Amino acid sequence: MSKLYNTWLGYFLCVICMFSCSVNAKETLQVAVASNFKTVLETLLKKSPLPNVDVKISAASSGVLYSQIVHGAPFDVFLSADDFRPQSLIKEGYAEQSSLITYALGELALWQPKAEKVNDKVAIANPRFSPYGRASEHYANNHFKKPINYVYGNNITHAFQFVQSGNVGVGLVAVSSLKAAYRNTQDQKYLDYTVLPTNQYPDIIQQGVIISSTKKHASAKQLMQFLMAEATQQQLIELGYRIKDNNASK
Amino acid sequence: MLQSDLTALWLTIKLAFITAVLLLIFCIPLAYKLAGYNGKFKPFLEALIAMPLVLPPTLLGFYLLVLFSPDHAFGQFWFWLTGTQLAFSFQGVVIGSLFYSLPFVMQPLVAGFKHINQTYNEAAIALGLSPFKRFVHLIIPLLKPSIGSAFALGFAHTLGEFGLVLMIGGNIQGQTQVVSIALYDHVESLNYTAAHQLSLILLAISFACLVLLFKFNKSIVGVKQ
Amino acid sequence: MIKLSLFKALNNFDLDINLELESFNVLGVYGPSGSGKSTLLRCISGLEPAKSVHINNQPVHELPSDKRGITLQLQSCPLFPHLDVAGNLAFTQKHCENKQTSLTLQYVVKTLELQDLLNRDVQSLSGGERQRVVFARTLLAGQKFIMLDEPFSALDWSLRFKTLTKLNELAVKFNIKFIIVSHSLKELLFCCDTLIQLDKGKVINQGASAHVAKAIYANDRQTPLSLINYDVVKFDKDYGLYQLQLQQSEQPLFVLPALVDSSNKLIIESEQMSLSVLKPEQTTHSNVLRSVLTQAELINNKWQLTLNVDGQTLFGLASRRVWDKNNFKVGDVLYTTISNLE
Repeated sequence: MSKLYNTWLGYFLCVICMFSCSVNAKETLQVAVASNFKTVLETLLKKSPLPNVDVKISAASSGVLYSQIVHGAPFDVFLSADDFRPQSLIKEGYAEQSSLITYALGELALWQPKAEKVNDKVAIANPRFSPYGRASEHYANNHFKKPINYVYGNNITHAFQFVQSGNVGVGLVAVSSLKAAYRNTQDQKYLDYTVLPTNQYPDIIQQGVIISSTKKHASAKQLMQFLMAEATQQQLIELGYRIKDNNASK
Repeated sequence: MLQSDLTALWLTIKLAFITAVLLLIFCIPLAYKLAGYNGKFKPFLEALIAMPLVLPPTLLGFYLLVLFSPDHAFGQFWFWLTGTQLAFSFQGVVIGSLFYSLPFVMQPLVAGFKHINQTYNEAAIALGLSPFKRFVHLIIPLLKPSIGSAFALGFAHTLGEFGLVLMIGGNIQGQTQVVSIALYDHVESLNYTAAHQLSLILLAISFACLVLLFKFNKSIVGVKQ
Repeated sequence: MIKLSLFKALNNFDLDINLELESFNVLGVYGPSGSGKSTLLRCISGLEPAKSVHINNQPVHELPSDKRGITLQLQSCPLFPHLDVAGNLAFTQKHCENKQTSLTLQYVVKTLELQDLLNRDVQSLSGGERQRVVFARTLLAGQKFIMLDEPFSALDWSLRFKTLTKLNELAVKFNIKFIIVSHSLKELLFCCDTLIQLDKGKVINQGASAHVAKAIYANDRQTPLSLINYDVVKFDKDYGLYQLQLQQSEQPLFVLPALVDSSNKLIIESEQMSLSVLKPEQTTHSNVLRSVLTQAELINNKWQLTLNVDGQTLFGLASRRVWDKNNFKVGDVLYTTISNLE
């Protein structure tokens, strides 16, 4: 009887060890990511996962994430779709100045999948709070015939959906959306776009920052370094972004 | 108060009112049929009607976006019928709201009809009244409390609609920018003062509407016993 | 007149009716609770399907309820709460189509004495008031074929008899056929000329009321109710009593006004009767009738007596002790005292 008990106890202790081992092996990092970068980050990490870091992604609009951080949400890293919010966080003391990186630059394209336009509307992201939207509006105001009938998506992906679903004939969308859609469907219509000259719209600067209250500095630094590594930056170009130091895009 | 916010308020009230009225017209005969139907498909029909309660509004909005598209049959049909597009239009948002608030209008009506059926309808049939006369002179008058409650619920629910309009509206002032969207815009662009102002006004108007409705319809939660 | 053929499987038994009734004015349907009486009416009315229903040689079983030319007043018949009494009465009058009778609202209100109730809220009516209003509303649907399910159960006997008398008058005056369902034989005996008895879904008796009633009593081994026809002689203001005279007879009865109405009929229960060989002059009793014992039967340890009063029949009871003590025989002259009349 006691032999059986000892055997079960032994198994039990082994299991406990295994669990605690796996817990101690990796550190969990809470990352707040702007929605349009979520799948990109997942793709990057899948290809080259960080050793010893388990990245947990929370995606929402940059504005929502900013509010949450200011109200104490326990994020370690914030990857925004713009530069304004990370810099606001630094100014207000929620993020570390030294950790600020420009991890990508957004790239805009003009996309008209059908030769015959269903209407004269133009889909863009809402310029009030989306950097893609602001850039789109800047470009359109300088290049399209007025008056322009805008249709606002609440983010750049939403604008893309308007054109993709056929409800709007033409839109200013992110190149990354087009590339991702082509990867998923192999549909030719996602290749039929015009990349806009980068000097004709304000840079869409996507910056990231480490949150001051984090207890996982080492892991956070690891993620930031990973994002800025050359291999990663090259991958971003393939995925439809521009990068900071090298202004050439594909 | 920004002009755009006032436009949004007026648009929202218009939307809620039109949706509630259209739903009443559509749902009263449907609820009548459903209340009297006891066949084997009844649980499926009731579940179907209750679906908008459980589906995320953004999901509803997404499917409507696909439905309205000129690439698909319904969008093409609408274009042929009216020469306009449903997405980004007030009409499109009305149609979306009809789906969104359907259960809130159907359920009080079905409950009201069930009660009337159980108590009064059969007596009226036995007395020899034709179906039309019964419907117009007995059932509709007895249904008034339920109609009031269905209208109130449909109206109030549509006032607060967000996710669906966000998906299919395109945020166009005077057409599809309802108060909830305007609020979202203020918050997203960190304009919290304007957000607070607009919220307070919306709360006040919603509350006043409901108080009025409850005042004129004493037994809004059930059917008058 | 009415030909019914219906079969309906119910919970405990099957409703299996094949009925043909030639002519009647007021038909009574008698039976215990759950015997299928209400279902029968519902099938005739069209609320429930039946194999075949013919009324006045017209097949109606394929027609909807509002096209059959009949009105059914359900047992639970509710008044419509969004209208007052006058509104409820006007409701059937206004909205029922294909009216066959010329009954007007004023006439019905006057006949049933509902003037004081017209502006009342329906929730404020007593049970009896409600039933009279419901009956008026049914009449105003204007059909010549009216079915009533326990219509007057909340009325006290005096008012009930009065209302049943008015029903009979309406039947005659406006040529309306009534079918009344009740589990009170007293009520049906008073107003119906034809009776059918229902038991577990089948008609076990049908025919003239007196005939069927007698069979029912014999079956249930109960003493029957007695029905007396009278003429009014005068009203004695001094004593506040009516002086009545039995029809085809000179024997008087002195009766309270509450029990007298235009039907000229009195129902007497056997418990109200006591028998004696003493002549009226020899007792202090009143309402003593001279009768001849024509039949006596020992049932359930009691003697059931059939007495002939100048051509009319009374049914009485005597205990075995009284019978043996007085040595009653068929053919004896007995004096019957009827109590609770004065």
